[in-house]
Amino acid sequence: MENNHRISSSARSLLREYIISSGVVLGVSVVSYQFAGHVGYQAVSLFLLFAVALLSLSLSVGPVVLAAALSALIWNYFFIPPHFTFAIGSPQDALLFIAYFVIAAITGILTTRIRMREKNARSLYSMTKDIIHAKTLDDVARLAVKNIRTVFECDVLLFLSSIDGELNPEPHEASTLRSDKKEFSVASWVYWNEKKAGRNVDTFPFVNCTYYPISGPRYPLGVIGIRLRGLRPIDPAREALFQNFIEQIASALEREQLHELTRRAVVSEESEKLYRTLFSSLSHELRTPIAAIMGGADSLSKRIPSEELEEIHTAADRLNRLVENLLDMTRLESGQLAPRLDWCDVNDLLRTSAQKIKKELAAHIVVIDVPESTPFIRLDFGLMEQVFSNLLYNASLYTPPGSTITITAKMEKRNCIFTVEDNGPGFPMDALQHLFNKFYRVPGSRTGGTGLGLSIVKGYVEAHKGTISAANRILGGAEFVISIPTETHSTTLS
Amino acid sequence: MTMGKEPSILIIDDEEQMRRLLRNTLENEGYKVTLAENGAEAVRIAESSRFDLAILDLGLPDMDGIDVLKKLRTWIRYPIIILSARTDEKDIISALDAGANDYLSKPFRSGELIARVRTALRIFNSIDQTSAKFSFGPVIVDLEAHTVTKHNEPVKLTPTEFSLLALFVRNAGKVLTHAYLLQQVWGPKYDGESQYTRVYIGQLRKKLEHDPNNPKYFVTESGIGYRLSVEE
Repeated sequence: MENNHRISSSARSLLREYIISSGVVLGVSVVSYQFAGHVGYQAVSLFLLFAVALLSLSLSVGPVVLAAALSALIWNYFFIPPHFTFAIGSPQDALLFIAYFVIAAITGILTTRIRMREKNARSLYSMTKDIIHAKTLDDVARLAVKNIRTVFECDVLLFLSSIDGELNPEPHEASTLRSDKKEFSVASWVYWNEKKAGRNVDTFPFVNCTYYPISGPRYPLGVIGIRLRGLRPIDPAREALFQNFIEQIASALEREQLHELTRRAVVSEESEKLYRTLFSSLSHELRTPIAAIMGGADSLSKRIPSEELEEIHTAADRLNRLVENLLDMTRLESGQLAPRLDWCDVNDLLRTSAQKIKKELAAHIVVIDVPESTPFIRLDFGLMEQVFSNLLYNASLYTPPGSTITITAKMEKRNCIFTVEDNGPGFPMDALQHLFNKFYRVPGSRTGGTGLGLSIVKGYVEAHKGTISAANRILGGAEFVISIPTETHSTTLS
Repeated sequence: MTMGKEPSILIIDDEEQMRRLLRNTLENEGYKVTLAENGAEAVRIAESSRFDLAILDLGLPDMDGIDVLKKLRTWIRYPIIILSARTDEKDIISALDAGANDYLSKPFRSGELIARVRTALRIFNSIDQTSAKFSFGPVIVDLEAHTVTKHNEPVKLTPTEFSLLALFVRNAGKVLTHAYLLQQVWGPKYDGESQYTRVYIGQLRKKLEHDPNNPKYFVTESGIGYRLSVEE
């Protein structure tokens, strides 16, 4: 409805221009006719030319050309002798007539064109002025769409890139058209190929809009689709103007996107800072009383050794382990854990892990088997040490004293494969799938575990982009297999 | 440490309970203890009196522990042991690089603390002794003659192995970070190339340890570096 109305209003204004132009030419002719006797017919041509020039200042090309042609014919018919015929008597008059028509047409058309250019420049300037003052990305988009709609008299479908560099499938809310799957897929093609496509273009002409990429100097920023009235193509001069518009929009969008990115970086830095403060004060608060309990029991047991003090120690150790596990879990879940990769000697890593909990492993036999040829690999020593001491501690809890726990490491292609196995009773079948769940504990297991150890192990392994699986060995006992993709470094001496 | 007088220790911790505990533990061992509860007070006390050792908690209310450490290190030469309730390796490494001699994570056992204090004091007091010979277990290192013996048998070391060993010997008992070892033995160009230290530590263990797989002397401090452990 609105479109039809607009079409007829624009056609009506064009019709009015034609009427004005012919009216003015007729008027000037009638007036000139009165004076023609006194001033001579040559001077009349100057009056008419003046009228055409004046008309070209405010009318579009068509009416101006009409005025030029109409005035030429009137001058010929009414003023050039012989009067009231289109015949021209003298060769000079014929020359004059042709010169008149050419000059009228050129003046008219040139003036109109200069005016068009001036109008384009003005519209571009007005949009640029609008979006330069926009304070948000949405403002830029809204003002850009508004300006494009008025200048190009078209409907607009605007897609912007999201912060991660993908094209957002939801068109921007300022768009005046709805998107569907087909439209978005073409827009998305335009986004990645940075070429126009769609209606009236050879590529994907079956959609409603013609899509143009909005490209920033570094990366694509979005796609803008336009649909002109009656789905007609945009004419080349207007398209050049449109491209200018897009360039201006691109630079404004880029400015706002960078601004947004900076703002987000600041926010994320702030939240990391907050997390660090909270975390370190929490760990301080939890560890200090445990330290006091341990220290108190220590100095007391020097003076009066007793079994009760040993109980306090065992309990404090257990509490400490729980706190450490909870803190590790918090660190994992906050997403603030970034492994600090460094070259590691696998043999050293496994032995240090076993050393760390040698008290807990006192009743078990630990076998560590790493081939001499194993290269250095890049791991976070601290995190992986915890992975293995957790697995060893686990094995010590769930196997009877005297059991053997074996850790092996070997390279398979670009992965380092660790296995931790024992010859204990293995896992109950229905426990296997829950092992790595938080707070899961194998039914009927001894007290002392937190149910967090294995989820932390899994978290740390995954932080190294590795995988872990658990199984029962065919010969009995439990087995964990960890695979960590890694850069290797052969142990060459220089 | 002056002869005939008990060594004096400055304890800097903001937790009253920890201060009491540390004081009791150390006084029972015969040390003279002075307490400070924040960074500013610690700096003030350290300026006015002389100590043999300081124990510094990294989590202080008024100043960052590392900053206190750096400040103290501008004029203090005696050992500083870091107490930390943070397990973040980065904090420990930066404390060691800022001049701390050793670190202990809370919670710790009293025995461990006393052992660390004793080691730190002994190393510090033996620095000025003229003897160029140093022994741990069956190994005797002569820094002047550039010779090493194990069970009185000479051990052949490459020049790099020897300079690494000498560095450990001069800092016996102290935790040396990967970055420090690389910087001292290989030079600043090798920053981040910790595979070098790992290779050479492996070599030293093979040549000097009784069981290279269960090192007694060249101990790995996970994620931080190594320590030449000279505890009996």
